[in-house]
Amino acid sequence: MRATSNTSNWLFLLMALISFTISAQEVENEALPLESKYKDPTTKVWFNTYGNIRIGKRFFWDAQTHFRFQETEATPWIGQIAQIYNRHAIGYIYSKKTNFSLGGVVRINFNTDEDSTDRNVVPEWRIWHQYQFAMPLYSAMIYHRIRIEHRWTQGFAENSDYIFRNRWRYMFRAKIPLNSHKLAPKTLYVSPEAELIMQSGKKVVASPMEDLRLTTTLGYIATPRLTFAAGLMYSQGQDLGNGGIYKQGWTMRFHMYFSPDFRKVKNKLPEIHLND
Amino acid sequence: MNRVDRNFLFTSILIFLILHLPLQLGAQAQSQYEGNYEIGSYSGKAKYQYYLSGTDTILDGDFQMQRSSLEALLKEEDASFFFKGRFEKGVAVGPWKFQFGEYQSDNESKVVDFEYRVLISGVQEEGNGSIKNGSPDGKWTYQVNQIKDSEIDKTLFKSEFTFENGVPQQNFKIENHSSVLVGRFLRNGLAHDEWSSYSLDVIEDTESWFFEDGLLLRIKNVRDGIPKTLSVFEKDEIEYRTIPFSQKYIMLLEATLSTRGDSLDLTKGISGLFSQNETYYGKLSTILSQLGSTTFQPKYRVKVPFYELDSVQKVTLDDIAHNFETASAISENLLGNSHFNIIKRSDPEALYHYNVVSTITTDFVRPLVEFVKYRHQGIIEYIDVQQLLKTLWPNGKPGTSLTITDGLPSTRTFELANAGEFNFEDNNLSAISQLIAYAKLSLERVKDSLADQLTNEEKLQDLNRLEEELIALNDSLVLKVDSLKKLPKTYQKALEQISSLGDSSLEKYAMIENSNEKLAYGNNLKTCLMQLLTLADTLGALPEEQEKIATLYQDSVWNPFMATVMDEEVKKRITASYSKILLPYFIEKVATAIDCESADLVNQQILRTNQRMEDLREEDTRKLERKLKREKNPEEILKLLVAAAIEKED
Repeated sequence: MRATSNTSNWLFLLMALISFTISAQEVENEALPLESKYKDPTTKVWFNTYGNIRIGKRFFWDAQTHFRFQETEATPWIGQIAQIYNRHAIGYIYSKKTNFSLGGVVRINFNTDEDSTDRNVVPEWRIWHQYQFAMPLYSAMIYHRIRIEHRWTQGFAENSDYIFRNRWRYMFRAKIPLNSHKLAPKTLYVSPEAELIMQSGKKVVASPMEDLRLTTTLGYIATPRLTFAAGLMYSQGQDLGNGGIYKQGWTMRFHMYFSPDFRKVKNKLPEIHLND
Repeated sequence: MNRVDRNFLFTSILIFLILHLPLQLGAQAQSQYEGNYEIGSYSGKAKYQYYLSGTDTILDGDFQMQRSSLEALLKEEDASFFFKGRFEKGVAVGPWKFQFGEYQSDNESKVVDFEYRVLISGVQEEGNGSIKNGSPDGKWTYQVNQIKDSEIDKTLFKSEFTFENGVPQQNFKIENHSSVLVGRFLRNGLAHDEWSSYSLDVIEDTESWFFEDGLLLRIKNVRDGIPKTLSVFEKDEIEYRTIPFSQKYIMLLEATLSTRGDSLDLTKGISGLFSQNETYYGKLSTILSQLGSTTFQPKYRVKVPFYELDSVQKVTLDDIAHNFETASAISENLLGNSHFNIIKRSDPEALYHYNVVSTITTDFVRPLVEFVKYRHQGIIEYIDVQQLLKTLWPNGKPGTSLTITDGLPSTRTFELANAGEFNFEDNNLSAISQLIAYAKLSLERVKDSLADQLTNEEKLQDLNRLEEELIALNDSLVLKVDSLKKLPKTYQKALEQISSLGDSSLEKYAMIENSNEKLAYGNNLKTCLMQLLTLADTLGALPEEQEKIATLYQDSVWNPFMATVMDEEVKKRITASYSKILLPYFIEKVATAIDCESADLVNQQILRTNQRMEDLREEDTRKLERKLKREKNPEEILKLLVAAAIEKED
């Protein structure tokens, strides 16, 4: 019975993707409070891997897998798995400082409500594109990232429908080398970042600010092809159901960045001379 | 009708072709050249016609070549030349003109009509005449004029000859600034009758040569008012030869006069003028020869007596010449030996030997100088040798026993033990041969008896020189090592070892008593010290070299997360083997096991390894890297690096 229901969901999703028509979804809105209310912060831990696999002179495969945990009542930070997140894209290197990506995300959302009797796992789908610009500043680099996502989500309740939203994200980030005059192998760097995630869609009525993320990360460039970083993020954002209610979170983030290049040596040669 | 016409046409064409065939075959493609050209030391612009025969350029037609530079003239001096004439199938023909000038200018120009004029001063030579079959034919003049402000100021030289196919005819005249010569030739080119010259400055000074059919019988001259008659060749000799009037002839005259006990300064007077003329004609002949026309040299001829030598005499002459050369060389060597000259002052034995050499040189060797020269110049057969030999020792020949007195406490006698075998009393070639052989043997004896004394001393001097070099080398080694004190600590022990090896080797050298051993050891040590210096240099350059190689083994990699280009070390196994195993191994080897035998080897190893590292960067090294993964032994790693090179060459 459950299987049939899942199949119909999948079919539905397909239709939704093709037609871009999204059926309205009932979200039970409550009245806005007189004053904004901040929920207690949730503690989370993210383990993120970022792959950037060169597949051509100007193309790369962006492959990210994230494991996101969050507290339970008994265990802070890493009590339960919250999401498993797969983000992929084909990237285009416009120049050494500018690149664009287009791809899809499938995210597995786990029901983190310990009291819930709904489904434990639901998928979430996105199409995303991104525009990233880097600027050198003294010994540091600063980055501007615009990421636009088209997102289909559904609740954990049985037979709940997908809702469609657009996400508008801008991130500002700096990477400042600490023990070197430039970002080079064997360099520790500190990276402050701020990202604002806005959202829009029929179901977004009073809560356009989905998330504001403020992060500081400490990273280490092991080789030109491998970097590790760890940081702490504070985030807050409006609850979709009620714009007067703000969620908060503290997240420990652990990142691994890898950028292998399996091309033949002779093809690699013009790597830094993109415009020759 | 038509057929008849066609036949007629074919026949006509055939006849036409047959008639023109010789013309077509004979015709050679004539070309013209205009551009830069060089004949011997003359380099200028030429314009000529030629054709190619095989790969040879055959001049055929007008020829003109010149050079003049206004720029050079105005700057300092211009050496210009101008040749003009014609060739026929590579042989000079027709009127020819040769001009050579060396001019200066006063740097002032004026405009006359539509020309700029610059006045020149200097010397101009000009040869003018006609050529037939490559030889002068007809009237020829050669003039050398001194030019002042573009006008002839003074004639320095002028000669006028008439030739027929290169053979001088009738009268000729040669004059220079101080004297005039007139003379004549027979139709066959033989000098004839009286040739006389007189001085323009001192009217009484005259010189006359009296020829009869080319044979110079006597010379009459008045110099400084003193008349003198010299008889030259006799009319009643058995045989005569005709030879060119050349420098060789003038030398023969000198030799012949000296056999008569006479002498005459032949650089002046008639022979002087004639030689001068010959020099100028030689210049023209050289130019034409280089252009391929080789028969210009005029055929002035004279007759001289001929005394034929038989084969025995010729062999004897060869012997004389050979022994003379050997004896001269020994005598020159000994008398010029500075050490011999020093020890003769304090050592009576050395002085005695010195005097023996000196006496032999004066009494035996020197009188033969001219004789050997005549043979060398090939005029000995025109000289009456018997007569010549008489004049070589006017005071009589020396004996086998030499009395040596100069500066010695008592008179001593030098004589070879086998002196009895020598007899040089007679007045013939065989006696002279024995005389010079005796001189040579005597000189060799003296040389042998001096050998030890001289060579020991020379050895000592060699040692001194060597020691100075060794000390200088060691000093620079110490300086070098000092200058490398800034190198990393790991290097210091190696450098100290190099320095102390130099010191200890020098000490060892000082301990050696035997001078032969000392010399041998010292020479090796010299090489060793030089090698140690080179090794120190190599070590000194090693940190820099290591850095250079490390940089070389870096690739630029674009890191997408940082949007930054970063250096990435590549072929890490190779670089690690180099910097973590090989370099410490080399340094350790120098620090612990360096000696004179291995210094060069280690140096070469280091240099070769550095070179290999540079080469390997570009090579496919996957196999090598796999092998290096397991290898920690430096000797094996060296082998692997070299093996990879050989494999690649295969």
